[in-house]
Amino acid sequence: MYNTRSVGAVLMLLVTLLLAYGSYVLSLMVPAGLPPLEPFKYAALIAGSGWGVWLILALMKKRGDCCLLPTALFLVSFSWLEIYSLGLKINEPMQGPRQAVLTAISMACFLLMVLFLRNYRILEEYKYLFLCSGLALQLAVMMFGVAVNGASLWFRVGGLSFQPFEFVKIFIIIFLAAYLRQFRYWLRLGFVSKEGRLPRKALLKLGLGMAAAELILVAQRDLGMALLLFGIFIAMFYITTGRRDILLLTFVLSGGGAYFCWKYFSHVQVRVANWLDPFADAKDIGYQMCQAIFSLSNAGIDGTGLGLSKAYVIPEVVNDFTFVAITEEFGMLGCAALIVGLMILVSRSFAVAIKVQDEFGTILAAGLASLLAWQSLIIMLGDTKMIPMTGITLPFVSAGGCSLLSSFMVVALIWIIDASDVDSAGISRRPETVRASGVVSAVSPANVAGSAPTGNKKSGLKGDK
Amino acid sequence: MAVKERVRYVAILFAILLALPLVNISRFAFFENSKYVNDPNNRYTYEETALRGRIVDRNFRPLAFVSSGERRYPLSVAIGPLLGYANPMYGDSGLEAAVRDNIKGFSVPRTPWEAMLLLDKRDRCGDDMVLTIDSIWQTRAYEALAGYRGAAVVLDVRTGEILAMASRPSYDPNYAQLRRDWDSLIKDSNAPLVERAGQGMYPPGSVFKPLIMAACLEEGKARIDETFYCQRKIDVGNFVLNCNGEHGKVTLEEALAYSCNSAFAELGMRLGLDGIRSWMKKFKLDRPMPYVPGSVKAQLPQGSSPSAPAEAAIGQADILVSPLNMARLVSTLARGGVDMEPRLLRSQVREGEKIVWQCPKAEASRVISQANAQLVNKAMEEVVLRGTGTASQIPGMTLAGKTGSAENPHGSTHAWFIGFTPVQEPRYAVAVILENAGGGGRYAAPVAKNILKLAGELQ
Repeated sequence: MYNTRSVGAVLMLLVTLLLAYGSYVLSLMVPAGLPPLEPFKYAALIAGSGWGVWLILALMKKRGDCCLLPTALFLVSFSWLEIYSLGLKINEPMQGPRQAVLTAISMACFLLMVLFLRNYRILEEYKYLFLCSGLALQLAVMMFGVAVNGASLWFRVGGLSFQPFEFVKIFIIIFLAAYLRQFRYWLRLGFVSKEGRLPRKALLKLGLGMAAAELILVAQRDLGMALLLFGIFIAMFYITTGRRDILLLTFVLSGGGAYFCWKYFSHVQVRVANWLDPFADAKDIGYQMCQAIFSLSNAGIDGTGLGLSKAYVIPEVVNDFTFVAITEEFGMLGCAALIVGLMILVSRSFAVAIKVQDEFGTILAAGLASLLAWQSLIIMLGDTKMIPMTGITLPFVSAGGCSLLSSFMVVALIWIIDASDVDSAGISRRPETVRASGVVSAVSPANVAGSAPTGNKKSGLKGDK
Repeated sequence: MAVKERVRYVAILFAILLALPLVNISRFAFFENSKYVNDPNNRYTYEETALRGRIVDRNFRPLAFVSSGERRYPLSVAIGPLLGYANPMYGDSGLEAAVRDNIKGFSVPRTPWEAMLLLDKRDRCGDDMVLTIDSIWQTRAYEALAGYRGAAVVLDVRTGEILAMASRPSYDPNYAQLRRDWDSLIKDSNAPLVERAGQGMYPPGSVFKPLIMAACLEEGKARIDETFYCQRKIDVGNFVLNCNGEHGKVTLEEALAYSCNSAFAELGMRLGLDGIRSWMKKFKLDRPMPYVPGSVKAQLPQGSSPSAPAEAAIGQADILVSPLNMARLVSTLARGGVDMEPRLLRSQVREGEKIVWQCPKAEASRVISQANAQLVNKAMEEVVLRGTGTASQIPGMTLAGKTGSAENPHGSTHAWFIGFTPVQEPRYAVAVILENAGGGGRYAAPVAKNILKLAGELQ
């Protein structure tokens, strides 16, 4: 067996080389008046924090997936080069340095989470706390947040912006994982079961809750979040229950719902019309999309080269169209590299979900992996005019602290799930984990507390209140 | 465990979906690339990302080239409206826009295969476009127009190639000047942005008469020794047409020399409007010129009143022609009645050596017989020697021509002159128009003279 840690180290080394070369190119672009060695400084900060976290985890003999951290670091570094050069072009030279500092902070949070949240299973106990705080945050931002493009998604304190949904989505996933696990047997039953009442009730609650959330998000002009939540919910629900009939029903209902939203919300119509033909109004509403298409049409196989594109003419390029800028400057090859990076990240996360010997861990890891994949998909497909454009962030790639922090939190959670499983299955150091550990449940699933509908009806009822 | 089975399905689904963006990216970047690259809203493919090829004159003197990231035009105002401009701020216009596809750089490969070839790229410079323009003629034509609004065209009679297409007022297409002058340029009522030589539409006035004369001779509706009687005015049905003088008894040759309206009104009535239209078509004035981008075709007379043929015969009515149309007419006569397609584009040259496109050799097609053409040319020589065009005489050179003073709704008459030199072996044909300047013999003839003098200087 190969040493997984050394595979990770090689990946880290490659990322470091990318950063070194990239910051050399960037230093050539720094305009007069700014210190030319600035890019090296911040590249060193990113690489340093990456290696720091890596070494600390290695020294503490933490076991976790060897690819997660280096791949995340690769995506961050790759996009950091782009953001830095775009920042210089759009006359916001602080974009690059800011992103580097935020990367370091996010890495530190990653480390803290990995070090202190040793047992992810306690998350399950607080599922309603997560749900409530998630809802409260989202409500607060809808009421007190700053409106950007008609959607109130941001808190602004001083010079700092804070987008709560980046964290709300994680809370929702934790809640969903816990809730779905609790009622998995009920949910797997038909519409009409011996117990009759229960499956329908759990289904109804989930369905109505999701429908209400979707409607509010769409009405709030937050189409990206609505789509994101929908996709994650579908993935997690299917993974947990395998109910194809309900899946089909959901698609039919949400198709109708989408039609309803298109019919009655003018902002949805504008979005869709702009997607179908951005050239119809290329100077105004379609301007951003048209420029993105022109940018992509300039990409070629190997791109224009770092800092040589004109992607900076796209409005909001560092937030919404980083992917397009990377594609133009690094070409189809660079774009493929980015996508492969995301694929590795996503498939390693799903691998953790498959490996872990605990159903909550499986569902949670799969939910988080779906989040990474689905969020990347929505924005990448939006950027390339395959679906209507929604302004959500590309994990690890888009500029912005909240997005970066939440992406690292997602990876930290997956890492924790992976690491704790290794601990409990192999060494079983922590007795409190044995209760629901993979060893026990693998032997006799029926004994696991709160899982079987007949054996532990009481706990199911309790949770259903 | 079924859950993990489903996790695997979902994981595979997502892994496949993640590759989806590549579908549209390859559409934009390769398969439908030209559609987006050529979109008028696309300001991408200008000098910063793709080095446009040069536009050079017939002697490979650069007319437009890129230097330190900016398009430069050494002839500046002398060729401004013809070349147009190309910069990221205002897009492109004129020839720059017309030959954009030929000269733009290859920064954007159109197919994956082309992209593979381009991995070995030294510089991404586009092809050069060679024009038939001669910088010397162009500059001279522009200078000769000084003080007027108008245009001048010089054609090489032997090949049909355009040596100069000057237009005034003009502008400097170099970016710094263009940006400085832009606001006044687009507001200026004299329309300096308009290229007048190929795209201006004017009533031809008396410079139309050689065509009428040639047509009548060819159809046998007039003989060269036929005499007309000019009484200063002629009744043409519904109204009385004035002549520019009382010429008395004139031969056909003299009628052209003195530009006698009475005689030509008579000829026009003989030809009829259909006849005039068909002869304009035979002289190919109603055709677009494929190798002169943007050139306009003449407007044929449409009037229905009884006097329409008479008015058309003296180039009024509703006939409209461009200076280039008239230059084509006079060069056809100079060639002995043989028409050749005028051309402005000569070839497209890659990397300074390889000719990737060459303008096909001009086909000569006979319009009128050599004998009749000679008769018209003889009459046009008389115009210069004794008639209305004496102001165009050049010592030591023989010249044939025709003046015109075209009435128009905008004020004084447009002064016209068309002609060619030398008479025996015609080499250069010229058409000059000065908007609202006055009489053609007085104003346009000296301008034409100043231009054609260059032929003597070059020898």
